[in-house]
Amino acid sequence: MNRPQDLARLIHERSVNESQQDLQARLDAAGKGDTTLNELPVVDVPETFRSQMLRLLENGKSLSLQEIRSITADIDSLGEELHCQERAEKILQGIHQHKNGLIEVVLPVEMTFLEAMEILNGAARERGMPHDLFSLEDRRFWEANESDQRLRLVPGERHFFSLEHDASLERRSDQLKQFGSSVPLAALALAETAERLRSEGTSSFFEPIPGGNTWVRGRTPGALLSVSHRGTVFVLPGVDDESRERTVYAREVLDIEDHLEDGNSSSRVSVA
Amino acid sequence: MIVKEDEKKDLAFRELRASLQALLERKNLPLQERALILAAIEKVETLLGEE
Repeated sequence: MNRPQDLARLIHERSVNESQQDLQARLDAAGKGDTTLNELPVVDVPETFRSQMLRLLENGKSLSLQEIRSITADIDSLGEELHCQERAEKILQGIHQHKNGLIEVVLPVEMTFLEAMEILNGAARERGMPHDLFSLEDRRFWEANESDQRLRLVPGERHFFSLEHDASLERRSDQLKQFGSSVPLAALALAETAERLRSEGTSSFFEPIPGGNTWVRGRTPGALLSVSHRGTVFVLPGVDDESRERTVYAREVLDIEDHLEDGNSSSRVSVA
Repeated sequence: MIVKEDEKKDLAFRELRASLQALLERKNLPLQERALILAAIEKVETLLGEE
């Protein structure tokens, strides 16, 4: 097994010439049947990983204790990085804008709202974006908001909303009468943050035209969302809803069938 | 208790195998790297005398 030609054959067989179907079969046989290949976009793995694997295959037993531990630490670090990217991608798959402008949001079942926002901030850093996409300075506000059964974003629960930019001069009570209920504030924050990550800061649901200094109302009374000049989504709590104007209302859309062009939601990616 | 160098190495290889198996769980890992990990796990198991 240690002869160079054997190693070359091993790597050749296990990578270059192996079809995805065959590899999936071997993963299944190895007890990794729940690992579905290419369910998520693959990422670039550092070249050092490949050289470390080759070092392990070629040198094996002659590796020192320190070298083995060093390889293990690097693999753990790579695994953590990939896991973060994997979870960020799963969040992004739960956000979708339909052709008619309707925005669909679902938070993956295995994470809380604040965990999701931390993951998105981490993914932004890994992509080299200079600032956080979501402000966690108001963590206490969000913790209180997400512990309120009437206001919270429930993981796995699907929401659809439209942003009523044309009615931005009206007060909350008037908007409520005109459009009905709104979606959880966290659903709005999640959608906007995800859109900014996906577009690397070039696209926004809140501000289709950049520089509009838009404020957005969701289900939580007395709280507004906006985006700072650095591109960070933040909440402004303690607002008098009846005196503030120029605020966009996020209208909750419940009769989905009437609004979606394809007439059903089963064809979309589900992350719940 | 003095732990022999071989035993330390044996433990380190088991930890390495666990890390490789955990990495295999990542669904965004490219195909070639996935294949390399499988080969590396087999190699480690051979070194541990488990194959």
